[in-house]
Amino acid sequence: MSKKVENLQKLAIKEQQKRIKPGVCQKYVRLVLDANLLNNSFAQELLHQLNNKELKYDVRKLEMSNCIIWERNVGQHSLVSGVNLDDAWHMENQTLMLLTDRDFQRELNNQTLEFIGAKLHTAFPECRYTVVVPRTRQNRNNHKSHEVNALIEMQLLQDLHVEQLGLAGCDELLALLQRYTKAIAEAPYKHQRAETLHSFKKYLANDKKQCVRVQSGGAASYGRLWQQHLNRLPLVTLEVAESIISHYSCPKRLLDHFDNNTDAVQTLADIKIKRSNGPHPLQTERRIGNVLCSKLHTLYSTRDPNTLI
Amino acid sequence: MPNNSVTRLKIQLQEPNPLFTRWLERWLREAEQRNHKSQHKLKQALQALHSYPLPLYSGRECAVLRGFGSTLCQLIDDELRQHKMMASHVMASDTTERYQQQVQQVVEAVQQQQATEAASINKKPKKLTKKAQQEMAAAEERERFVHMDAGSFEIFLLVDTQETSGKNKRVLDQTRSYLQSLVVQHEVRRLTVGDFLWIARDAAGNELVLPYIVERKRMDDLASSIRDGRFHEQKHRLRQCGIPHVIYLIEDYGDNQHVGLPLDSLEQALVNTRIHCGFHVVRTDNHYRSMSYLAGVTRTLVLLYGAKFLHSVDKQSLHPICPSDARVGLLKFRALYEDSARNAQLTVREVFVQQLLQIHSLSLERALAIVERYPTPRLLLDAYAVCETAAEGRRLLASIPCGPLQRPLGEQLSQCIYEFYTNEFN
Repeated sequence: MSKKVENLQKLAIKEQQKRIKPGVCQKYVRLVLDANLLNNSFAQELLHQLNNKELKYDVRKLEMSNCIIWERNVGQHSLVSGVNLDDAWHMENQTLMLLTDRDFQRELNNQTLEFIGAKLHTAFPECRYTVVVPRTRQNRNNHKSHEVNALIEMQLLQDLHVEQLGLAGCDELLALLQRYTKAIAEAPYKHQRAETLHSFKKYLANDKKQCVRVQSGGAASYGRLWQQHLNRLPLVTLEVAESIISHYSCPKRLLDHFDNNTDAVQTLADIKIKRSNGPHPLQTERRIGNVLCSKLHTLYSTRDPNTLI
Repeated sequence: MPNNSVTRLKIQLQEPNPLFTRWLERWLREAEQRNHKSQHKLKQALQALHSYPLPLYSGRECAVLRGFGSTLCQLIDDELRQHKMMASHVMASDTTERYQQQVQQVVEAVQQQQATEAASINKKPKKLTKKAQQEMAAAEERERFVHMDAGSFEIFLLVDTQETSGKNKRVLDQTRSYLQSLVVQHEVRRLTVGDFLWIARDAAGNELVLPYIVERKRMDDLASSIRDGRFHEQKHRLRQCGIPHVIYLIEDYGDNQHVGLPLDSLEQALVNTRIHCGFHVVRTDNHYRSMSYLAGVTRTLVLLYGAKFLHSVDKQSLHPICPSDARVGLLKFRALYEDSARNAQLTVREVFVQQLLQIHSLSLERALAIVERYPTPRLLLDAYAVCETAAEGRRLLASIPCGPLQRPLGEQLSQCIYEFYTNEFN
């Protein structure tokens, strides 16, 4: 590949990274409202509020009426145009459909709710769908149970998200659209982060609470770091870690011990745990133990990363 | 006869002291006839002698027993002397010889029995302890392929024992009483992931998990789990468990205004959960409505799955289920339970990443990049060992590209890690 193309590729990735950063990403995302939605009483107010909140939008006739989709401006580098990016709007994979009170009651009575999912799939393939319905006013007796069951069926049988909103004014809808836009805008960034975490069974992103600031050459901070390392093993308590450190104050010493002694694990296992509450002649002294020591040994000697500890 | 182990034989004579016993019985009879006061002591002595299992060879030896005073012992010795004189020597030695012969016979009989046992021991399996038996049964269950014809199973709701806000029994009881009043077939069990599951169980006791899992959260729980960081971890675990449809059942708590975080943040978190994780989010007003929702879902699932043919699959082979599928592959309950246990074992790679993360400026991206190149600590140490100079070692990791922008790890971090593993400090 030529150098120019390679550079452009790098630039493209850099630009993309910039655009998906939270805080900035919303500038590149816009809502697209189906033209039919403008027939609603709250439409003007909604558009007015969208402007106030600086949410970009476009109004078009969509493949299915009363729907809202989102588009992202991913920017397009072309080999010809140079540095500036052309607009390129790509559709995001979320679709929202609005059912007004009247529409919803009609579909419910005609028993046509069960076809909504299929219609959405046809109009907007490969998306996740949210259907906004009026909030059911549930009272003590069960006549709304027919509605409730219909909603459950929509959720389970058609895999649709169902959102119940008060649709008298546009406030709740506006709030929903704001949140959806923010979430959709940030989705690629979150997805990128999640991809790396996914391959691990344990959730690894949580562990930053006690991390150590290491100034180069600082022995004290290395010491603390060593203790943190030992604590990463399950069942290593503070006392156990301190007992190990009292004999092997740095990783090198422990590693040398493992390398040079054939009964290294046993020696390590026999180290007594120092308890901080003074000598207890009647209490049996606790050893570090063979299980834990063989785990440590495995950790520092195996070359197979999938070995279980 | 070859015998690998030494067996101690315990020979118990039926009547160890026939002679002394008979004498005492005689003296007791005489004493009773004369109504002598010695009868009581004699009775005691006789009882003791009856209970004593070892042969006694003289009156003096009898002194250890209860009721045998010096007089009685002397009497026995006198009687014994007379007895010996009366009987011939041959007879006496005869008795001991006979005794020894009998003992020998018993020994031989036992040895023979041991030999036959040893021969047949290879055919007969050793009796397993209860724990070993349970382990074997569990292993068999894990391997077995399960299939259930339509109509051959029942579907019911499984409620986690810890499913409460506040983790107390009172709330669990409330859950159960609501479910009972809603006529929902359910059971309470400890779950390792999620608060509610649906199980299809056949007559043989096989249990398959329907592809829906519910995590119930009241708004105040949601707020506190976001604040202490558990929220993302829970979502990660729910995604990892393999069940395709995850439902977050979010229950209002009063007006949701005093729950620990601003309502707007919580609402955004819920939308994020929908959009980023693909989970369903269902809102309810209160505990009863939540249970009512679960009742509705249970009914729908019974209708939907009752006529399907179910079979077990591994987590890797699970694929998305279309509601119109007639055959559905599901996880076994045991498999889900064991796989999702929180303290399931970690791999060396995971521990290594966690260790690297302990350094302040080492982000997850960087840690993963290092581990991509050197998946275990030993592999990194091997690489350090091969470096010809310390300077080379310090630079080893500096140019590793990290993250989507492929930024190099940097000299400082590379040096820090090198020094940490190779220097002796403290």
